[in-house]
Amino acid sequence: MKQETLQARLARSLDAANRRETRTATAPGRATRKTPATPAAGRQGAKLSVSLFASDLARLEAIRAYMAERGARVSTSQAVKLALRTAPLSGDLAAALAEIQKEDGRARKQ
Amino acid sequence: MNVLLCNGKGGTGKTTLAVLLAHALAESGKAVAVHDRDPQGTATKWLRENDGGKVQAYNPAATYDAVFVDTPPRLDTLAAALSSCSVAVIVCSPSPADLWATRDTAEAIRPHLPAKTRLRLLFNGVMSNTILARELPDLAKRVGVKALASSISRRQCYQHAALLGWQALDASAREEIFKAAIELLTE
Repeated sequence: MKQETLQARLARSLDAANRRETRTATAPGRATRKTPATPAAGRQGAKLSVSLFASDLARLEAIRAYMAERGARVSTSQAVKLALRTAPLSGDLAAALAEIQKEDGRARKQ
Repeated sequence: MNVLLCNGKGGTGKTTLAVLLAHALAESGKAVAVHDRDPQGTATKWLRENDGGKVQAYNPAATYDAVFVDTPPRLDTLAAALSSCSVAVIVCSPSPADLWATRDTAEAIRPHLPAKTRLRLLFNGVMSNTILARELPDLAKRVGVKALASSISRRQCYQHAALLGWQALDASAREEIFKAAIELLTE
């Protein structure tokens, strides 16, 4: 019984720790602090505000960890760019969209 | 969440604790992996031979609730491993040799520690009711790293766990591991 309680506490602690990490990684103040107000000369950029699910954030962390394994420290923004530049345009996108709409629950019915 | 276990000295219990802490989370229903960065591959062998698959060997393509990173007893390879970690835990027994190595490890780690990463000390192999056990907070101060209030005591069943898996741990040993894991995640 006591161990069951400890297991439940441990599970809750991990959930809370992962939520804290996700908030820190996506906090607007943190994300924009190092970003110049306007793109530097010769560079084109646009600030976008997007909502990501926990699974997407975990995937970004996996990309960062994968690159770190190979000696490259990658920011969240760079991880997003890596995902965009390596994603093939295929039939998988339609299936992924259905999954996203199901998770979102706010998408208009077609 | 990634938790790195390290110490420049060998035999402090990094691998044992990486696997057992991961196991505690797996027993709590979480998807957990151990990333074995030690060329000796002890953690990998442990998971393959004794574990029943609850804790997985790390796969970069998969996602986990938590990953425990086991590192070799060297300081030159830690910088790359630190970059994606939330907590770096120096595992140390309360012996002078371990404490000296721990101080060196802390000094080597600090320049590479990302701003978001906490550095903590976890005492392992502590014999209860001894002078050293009572002096743990003072020993941590000397090393200059904040120690977890939880410590891991010297128990034969932790050695047996490498042969028999998580089942080798009695109730009090499991409780000790659970409490250390909870503190690691919450403090």
